[in-house]
Amino acid sequence: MKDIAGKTAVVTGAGSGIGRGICIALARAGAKVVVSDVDPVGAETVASELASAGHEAIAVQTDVADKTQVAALAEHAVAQYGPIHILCNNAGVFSFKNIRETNLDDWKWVMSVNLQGVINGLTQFLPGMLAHGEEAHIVNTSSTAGLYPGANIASYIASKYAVTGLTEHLRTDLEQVSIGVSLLLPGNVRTRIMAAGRNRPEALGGPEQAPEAFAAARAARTDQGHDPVDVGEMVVRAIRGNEAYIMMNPERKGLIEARLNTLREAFDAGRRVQAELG
Amino acid sequence: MQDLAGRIAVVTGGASGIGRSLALAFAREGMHVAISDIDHAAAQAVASEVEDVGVKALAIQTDVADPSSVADLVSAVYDEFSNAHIVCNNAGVVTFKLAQDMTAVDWDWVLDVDLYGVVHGVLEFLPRMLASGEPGHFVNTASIAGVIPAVTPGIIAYTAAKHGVVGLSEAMQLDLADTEIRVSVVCPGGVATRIADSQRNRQARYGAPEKREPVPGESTPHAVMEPEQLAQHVLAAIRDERLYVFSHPDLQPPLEARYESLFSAIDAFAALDPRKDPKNS
Repeated sequence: MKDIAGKTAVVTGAGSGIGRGICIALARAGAKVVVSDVDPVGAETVASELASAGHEAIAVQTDVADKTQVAALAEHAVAQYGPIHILCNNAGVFSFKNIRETNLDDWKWVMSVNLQGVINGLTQFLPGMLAHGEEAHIVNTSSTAGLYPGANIASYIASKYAVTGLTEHLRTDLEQVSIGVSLLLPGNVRTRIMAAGRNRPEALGGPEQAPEAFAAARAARTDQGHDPVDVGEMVVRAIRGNEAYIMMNPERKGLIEARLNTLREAFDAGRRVQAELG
Repeated sequence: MQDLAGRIAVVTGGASGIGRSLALAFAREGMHVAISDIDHAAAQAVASEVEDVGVKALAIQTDVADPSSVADLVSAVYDEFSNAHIVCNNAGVVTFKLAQDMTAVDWDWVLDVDLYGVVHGVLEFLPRMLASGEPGHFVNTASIAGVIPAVTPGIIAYTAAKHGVVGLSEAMQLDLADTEIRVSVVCPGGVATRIADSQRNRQARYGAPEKREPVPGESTPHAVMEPEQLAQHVLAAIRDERLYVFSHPDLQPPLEARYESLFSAIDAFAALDPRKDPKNS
């Protein structure tokens, strides 16, 4: 999609953090923006911020985990602006616990937002994108934690690995219908994801806080983190060039290489076993 | 885990394919085996085969997509055997459709069985296994599609679920490193099983079984392994306490190609990095 001016974009999890940064960058590039967030105040604040800068934007409250709310978001967006050209499935949450301390509600919460939220975006927006026949692009937010594991965040790791695999596969499938797909792999961005527990629904255990030690450790390195608007600018660049990956942390390349090396060793181990079996 | 004889193994999706071969391989090592499957008659048939080897067997009907059904599986296993040492979260299904043809209920079915089925098995068995103080080993069946995202078009939900299973397994290894519980994740390429016919077991709540249609651009696996052979790879990984079971080394080139694309994107970004002094974090 060479030209973003005049196009319509929907961004989930847009009331703060990376989602807000994507909205600002898209609006500056001339897109009309539907600012969606589970927190209506956050969504309104970002939409007003865009409007006062002279951009076109509306706010829609959406819990991406709920398919009917995502369907309503699609309907609202189309009613306001017509065909949707850009969808950023960005909403995400985080829970910090050793797997032996997690219960099914912990998993349901993280998976329903981080993975099911992306799937709901696809099933509710793709039919419209296919039908309108104009240019279209989908950006899914995974994480560097969608490339290599970390301790005490098993549900986050599982959800983000799934989004990584889903998105790379989506790019292959949608090549056949000329819809672009980019995978956003943020790491250490100045966002409020540590406070994601504020939005945990009562039905799945209610609000929770990240453990202090973990939140403090992350806060300490946030100064070196990316400005979310810079992430948004890279997203716009990737949409324009239909780039497969948006990965802005070269300092973490070594961690990805380390995981690749463990996979290579696993292939070698498989060869040894096969040789012994004959 | 070195000594398998006399210990207890549980295999979901144990009535056919990889699950059946695992059940029989464990039996030949002298383990008693619980065979869990959504198809109870088929599970009972495998239980008889296992008993013929000379060990105890238990057939249990389980819908792994339903956490209460998995809780019932755990109760049945502990009622019968008082223990579980090797738990194979193996049940899996697949749809063959491009992303643009997938319905919401297609997604639900594949993810509920292939990903949440494994989560249910881990969350329900882990507390009992930890409490027993005995050695334990989880074997989660993923696929090479769990590490290579676009190995063929038309299996997007399967790919997403299997990536999730790989991530879950890697995270389990880290979180359980200070316990007696080990983890392996099975990532085969083509295996001679009935997975392509998994619509036969599609639960009514996910809509009627669908006929398999060819997917434009799909490729078929070129090296198909017998499930008995794969079970030997799994046994070796359990004995050596290895995380990954990669049985199809001919699939290393597409993995390398995927990482090359990713690394080029990262290298291209380095020149654009707006941060003055990025630290490893």
